[in-house]
Amino acid sequence: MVCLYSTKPNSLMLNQPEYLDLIVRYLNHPQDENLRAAINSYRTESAEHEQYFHDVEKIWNLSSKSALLDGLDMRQVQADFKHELRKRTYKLSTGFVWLRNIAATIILLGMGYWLYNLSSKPAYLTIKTVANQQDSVLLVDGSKVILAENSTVRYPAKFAVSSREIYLDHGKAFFKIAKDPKHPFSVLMGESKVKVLGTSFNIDYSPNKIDLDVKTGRVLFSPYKNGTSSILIAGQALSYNITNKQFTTRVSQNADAWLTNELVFVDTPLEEVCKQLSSYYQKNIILETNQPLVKKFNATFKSNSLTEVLAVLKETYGFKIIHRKDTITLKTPIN
Amino acid sequence: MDVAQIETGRDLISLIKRGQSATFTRFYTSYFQKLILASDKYISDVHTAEEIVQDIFLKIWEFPENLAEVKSVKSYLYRSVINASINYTNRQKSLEQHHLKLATAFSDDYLSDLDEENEMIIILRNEIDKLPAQCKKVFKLSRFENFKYKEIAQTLDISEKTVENHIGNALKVLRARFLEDQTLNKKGKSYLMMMSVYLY
Repeated sequence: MVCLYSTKPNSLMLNQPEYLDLIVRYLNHPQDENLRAAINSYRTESAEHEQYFHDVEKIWNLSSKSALLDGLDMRQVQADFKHELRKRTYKLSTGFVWLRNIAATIILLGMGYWLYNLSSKPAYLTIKTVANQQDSVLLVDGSKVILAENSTVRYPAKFAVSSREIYLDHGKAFFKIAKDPKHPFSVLMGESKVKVLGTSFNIDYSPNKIDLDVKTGRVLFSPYKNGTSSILIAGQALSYNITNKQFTTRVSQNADAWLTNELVFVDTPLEEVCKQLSSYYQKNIILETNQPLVKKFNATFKSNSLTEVLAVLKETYGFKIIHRKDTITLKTPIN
Repeated sequence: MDVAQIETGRDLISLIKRGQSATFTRFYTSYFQKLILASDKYISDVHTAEEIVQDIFLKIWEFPENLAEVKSVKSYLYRSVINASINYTNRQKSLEQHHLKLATAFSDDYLSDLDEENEMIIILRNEIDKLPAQCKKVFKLSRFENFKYKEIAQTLDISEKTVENHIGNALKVLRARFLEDQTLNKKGKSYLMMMSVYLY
């Protein structure tokens, strides 16, 4: 293997053009252990480094895919198509056009009458769950709303003409919205609103806070009328504090675990793992450590009990697990 | 009607029933490269891919009623092209290869993301074309033809260091232009999003 560099690159000494060289060398030789180590240390140094690496890698990969387009002569493609279309097009006679116009007018009049009937505000139905109960409702457009316990949703039997709106009055629900770009779907919670085209997401709405996690697609969150909106894409989440009107954005993990009974951890820091286990198993699980733990956890649990999950954590990290009345503490062993 | 506004099957049906072949041709052109990119995973021959894409659009022109229930023309086109490509490959290979998953399983969101990536590839290809002559040559030999630096240096009679510099330069320029184009696209889209917020 040919070595293209004379000394081992040290990220701390390089500046921008040399970073680019390092990245390109890595992309040309991804199996090289030295390069891989150097790139990893470069990437973990800062978010900017990670973004820069990501951009260059993206361009590297997409540019080889664009090779395919080089062989296409779009003018020829268009000319061929026009030629084929002409072979398949029939001219309409003027008599037929006149008849078509009459038919169109009759339909328009009919539609006007129908729209007039629809213009009044739709009546709303309520679906409500109590403790330990889950329920779901299929909306008239094919969208589905699944409610966790102690939640209330109001929805119309028929949507208004231009948009689809439902209310999450309180609690937690998972929304799977049918795509209809002409009629954006909104979930209203007090002053706040989540607007989507077609996607699936989880909302947890309590008096002080809204937790929004997007599973697929894209949503627009507006905290209140004329407030700054945020767009969230699949895998992103935000927590909005209604009292002080503050947001935090985060990566979405396991927000719908209550529905799927599956907990997925991908490079999750241990503190976050404890938080999510606490939320799902409804117990207070805390991490007690005097060392800075940068450990990241990777695992998937499907319908496992808390005992089983704790056993895995104990095996993996050697924790001492202390069960008290209200809390479970994971303590790192003193070395 | 503007080509960008065609979303549902009914949009296409009304266009076709009114005999608007010029608009339909522009619509075809706007999707052509992206659909060729999508079929590339399944078919190696680009000429076959071109025929497949053209046939699908011609069939739509002749039998638009088939699209009456289609909510997303974009998804419909991607699924049709991918299915046709898979079927073509299956016919060419032995029966063992029939395990390829049919595209009906792909969700609208997945296809939407695929479409966005394909749009990025087209932008990138245009920007590569704008690179200075020698830089473009070197970059294409590396990324399109998969030449090693040594081979490029020999082919063009330049030093390997020069090759390295050209590649670095190309990536720098492409990254800058690419991000610019993306922000412009995003600005356009987010402006529309902001407008819809104010209407609420």
